[in-house]
Amino acid sequence: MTILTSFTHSHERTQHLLSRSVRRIIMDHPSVGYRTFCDTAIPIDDWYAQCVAHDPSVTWVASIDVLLHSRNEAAIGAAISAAIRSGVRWFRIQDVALIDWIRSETDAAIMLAPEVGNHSGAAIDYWMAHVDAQSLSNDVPGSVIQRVTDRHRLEVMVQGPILLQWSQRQYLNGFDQPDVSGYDTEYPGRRLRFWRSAHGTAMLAYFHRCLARDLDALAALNVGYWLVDARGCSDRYLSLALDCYQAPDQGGDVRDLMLALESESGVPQRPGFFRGNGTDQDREVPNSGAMLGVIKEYRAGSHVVMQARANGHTQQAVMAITPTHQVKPLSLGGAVSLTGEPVTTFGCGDWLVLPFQKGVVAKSMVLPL
Amino acid sequence: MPTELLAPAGNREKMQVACRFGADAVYVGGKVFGLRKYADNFTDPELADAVSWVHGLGKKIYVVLNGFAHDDDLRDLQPHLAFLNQIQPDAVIVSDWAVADQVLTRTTIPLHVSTQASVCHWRGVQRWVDRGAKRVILGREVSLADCQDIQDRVPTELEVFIHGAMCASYSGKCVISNYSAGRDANRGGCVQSCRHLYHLESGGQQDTRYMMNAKDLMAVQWLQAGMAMGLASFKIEGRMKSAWYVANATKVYREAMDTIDAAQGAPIDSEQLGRWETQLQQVSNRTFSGGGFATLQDGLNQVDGGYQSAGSFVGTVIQCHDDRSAIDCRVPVSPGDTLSVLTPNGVVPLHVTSLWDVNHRPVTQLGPGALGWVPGRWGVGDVLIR
Repeated sequence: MTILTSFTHSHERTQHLLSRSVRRIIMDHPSVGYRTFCDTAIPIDDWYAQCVAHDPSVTWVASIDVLLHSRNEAAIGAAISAAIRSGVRWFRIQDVALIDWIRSETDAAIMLAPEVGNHSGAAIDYWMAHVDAQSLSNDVPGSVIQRVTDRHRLEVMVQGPILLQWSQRQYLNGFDQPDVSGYDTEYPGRRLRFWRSAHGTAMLAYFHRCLARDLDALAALNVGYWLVDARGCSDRYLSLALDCYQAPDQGGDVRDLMLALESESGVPQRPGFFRGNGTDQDREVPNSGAMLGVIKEYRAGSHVVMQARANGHTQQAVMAITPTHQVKPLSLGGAVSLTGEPVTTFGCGDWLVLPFQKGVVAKSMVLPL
Repeated sequence: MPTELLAPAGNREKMQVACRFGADAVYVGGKVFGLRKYADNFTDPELADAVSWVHGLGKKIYVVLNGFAHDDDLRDLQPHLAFLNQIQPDAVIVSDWAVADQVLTRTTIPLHVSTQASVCHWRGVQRWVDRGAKRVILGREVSLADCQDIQDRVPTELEVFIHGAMCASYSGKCVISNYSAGRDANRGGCVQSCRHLYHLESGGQQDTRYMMNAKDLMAVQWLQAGMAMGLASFKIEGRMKSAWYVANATKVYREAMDTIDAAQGAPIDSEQLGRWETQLQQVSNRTFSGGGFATLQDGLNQVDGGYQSAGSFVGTVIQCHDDRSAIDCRVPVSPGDTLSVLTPNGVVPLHVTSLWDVNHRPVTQLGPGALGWVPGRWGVGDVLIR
């Protein structure tokens, strides 16, 4: 059975989540959370204790999503101790360095939420042996999730802002407020959001992850946890999001809900990489690993110079593929070295001066036929 | 063990340059799964040749496999690991625990953990060492004091970056390119969005600036402390940078490390440090900072998104014959020009009296992309600058 889960940073948000029957709540705290969107807070001991006191039967999760440094060791230690004292049975961490530390203090469960790092089935399987659950990186498509056997221990973010980058640097200096919006001038239509905390600066995407239109595919994956991440978003946004995923049949038309989410957040609602990851198409140039050489100089009417990138001989049948992917005939016959001696065999790095051959321009790859 | 100087080798030319100018080790990428997909990188035969060549010099060579793998990458990785296991580089550099698992189970090659893994604390180092890592390359956010703490607690090889470009974010924690350009930043497709100009607004305030443009790292003033604490390796960033950059940075840091070593703990005078810093500033850079060595990382150049440089890279010597040297030319050179030749022993002026094409015919100019001959017998790997 899939469990809906979400973050809280305040008692008001907690009440809201409880009123909507969310039974797994992640407790965010600015001392150990890099994007809590909350820069004042009660002591973490009190925070955890008060959260649990709302309803001890809820699964409370202590979120520690800063990376471990010596300077935040005390704060993280305090968070771990506070969670233990409050009877919290789950931790949600980004840095794998915390696994052994938490294990040495408590037998509470650990969810690893690395942001980047569990993209392959093998990586997910690897971590299954070391933690109790995993929140998947947002660029893992459903087709990969489907191949994981322990899917009931996986969390998929179904709704919310996508974290693009997290820096330890304070790059919003000069702004009075921690919450800044803007855009990369090379992509002026894309509205980004930035958040400054004591831990650094986070950058959020110009759209929100929204799987409301992918509920059938999502449900078929049968993952353990659906995360509605409304950190930094309004209560109305949270309500609309819960309408989408909690009771999709009763919450109204999905298109209307998505429009309302878009209006409330000010950014488009998109599935992100859930349906497929296009970056997988951006791979090495085909055959580049098999190349015999590369053309370094093309002097029209005079000569062509190839640098060898493999061992070979000049009797080999070869072809050239130009930077515009045109296939050109090429002969290595008549090759001489830079010092003018005839070349019959060559090794990596050797230079071959060839008779002029039309169209075999600089940067062409030379491949065996 | 003396601290190793580790230099980038984006291709064969830069590998030769790095070794010629004093690197103890180089790191290279193959055609599979390095983070610099748009560097030349090495074909398998070149990797085999490179390992043999570098070992012949008594130096070390590490192969980078530091992307975060998707399923298709892992499929390609298995035969590549089998090949690497045959040629036996001195280490492979990884970030992804699943890749590390394959390296450790399928090869006998030592494992180095990439800075992309953002290891910033001794507990993280300990976890990797327990898994079988021989060396951990620390996150660039780690201060020198923290390096000491880690070294004291976990007696393993630690490597730190000492020079070159830096990510704005925690390395390996950035996916801007994935969403903005459809290229995976953590599999070699970074489009360097952090170098772009951003317009920002908040509560009535507005600004347009290069908000995330990190200055380059220059850590020459921290070398002595790092060597004293026994750090295993100092790494120069930049497989995509020019041969001039590789030559200059390697030469300066080699000299600095040798000087510090010879000083046996005596302080290096500030004038000498200043000279090294001046030399490092000659090559294209985004201005410099000390990165995270002293304090929290700052060092942003929010005013200027470009580079500064004291000269231009003309070409690298690729062969010598009689009293001439062949170069691959990057900018136009004509008879009458005065160039400088950067050699391991210093900078030597070169007055270009004549030029010849690759067929030894006199020419009046060598243009960008041309190969040709200049006067003088220089060393292969020497670098010509203007």
